[in-house]
Amino acid sequence: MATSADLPAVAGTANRPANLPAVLADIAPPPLGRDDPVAPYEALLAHIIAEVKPLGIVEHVWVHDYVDRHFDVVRLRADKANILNANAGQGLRAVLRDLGVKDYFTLAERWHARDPDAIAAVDAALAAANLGPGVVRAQALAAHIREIEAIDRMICIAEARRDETLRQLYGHQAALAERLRNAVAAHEQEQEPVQEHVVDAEFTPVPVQTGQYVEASG
Amino acid sequence: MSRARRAFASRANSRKSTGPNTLAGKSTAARNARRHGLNLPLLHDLGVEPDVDALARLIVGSIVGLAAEPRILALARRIAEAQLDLARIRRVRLPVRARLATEPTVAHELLRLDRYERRALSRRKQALRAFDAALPPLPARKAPAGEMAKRS
Repeated sequence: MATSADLPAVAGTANRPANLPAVLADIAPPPLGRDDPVAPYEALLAHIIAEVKPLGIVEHVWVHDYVDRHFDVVRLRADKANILNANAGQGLRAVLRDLGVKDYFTLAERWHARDPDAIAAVDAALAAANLGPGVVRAQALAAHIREIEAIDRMICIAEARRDETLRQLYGHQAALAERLRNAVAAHEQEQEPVQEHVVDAEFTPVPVQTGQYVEASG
Repeated sequence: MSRARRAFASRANSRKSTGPNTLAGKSTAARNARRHGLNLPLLHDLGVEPDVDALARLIVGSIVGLAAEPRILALARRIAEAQLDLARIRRVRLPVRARLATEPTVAHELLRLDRYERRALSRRKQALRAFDAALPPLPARKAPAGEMAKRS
């Protein structure tokens, strides 16, 4: 019977080049700009490496790809929210202008700067027109709908690529496992066949000592 | 239409339909189509060739018992080429991506750049499939104790 010790060696820590991080930084650069915080990316990468335990340079590249795409998805979602928030003032300006509010431009600027008087004035103006705060967000979205749509497409693409990377990694690992299975099967065939018939032998019955067993009571 | 007006219109039309005359103007116009150079194959830059070779050898070397035969190395080179192309594309994309938060219109530029990444990813996928399919079966041998498969 083959055991794990019979498996041929595969690429492991012993085969990892000493300069692997430098090589990976060169061939799979992290998607971080100059001002982007490194810590969240590094933490996610370390977590995924610990989980997947990649072997060899190719699997390491896949893991980096997976983390990069996931990181992209998270950041694109944040960017989308930031664009909407940053343009809320512009959205409010359009709403107040349509409502015929006097000095709507300055009022929208003060509201965007979170001036309490301006917030109260805007709330009153919206309530008078039977509108909720959602219209401001809707106007901001309308102003940048093409960009938001483009970001949504990028999110979809990044998610699809992230999942595809995982499928490729599993496919590769399955191919490796298949090779290992075949190697073990070939090794077993090379060994002497296991004797399947039982050879009769003499034996002596051992007397049961009193108190050794407890009889089952009915 | 008088002859003078016709001549004037003719000269104006001519200016619209002809290119630059000066050397400086011609050299500027020659670079019109070049923005990032991602349409060029990676190996157009001869300086990249050693990097492709080194990465191909690293890929082959990371698989125990795999000899660096020319056929296997050629397949590994395809992976290396696609991977280095991906790295090149991502480096071009990075500064554009950094502007997205403050300049939402760059989202369209990012989408345009994406097709280069899609092509490189497709090339890498095909190359990896061909490489995996070409791997010889592992030799059947009894490994000494402690040499069992280790996950790093």
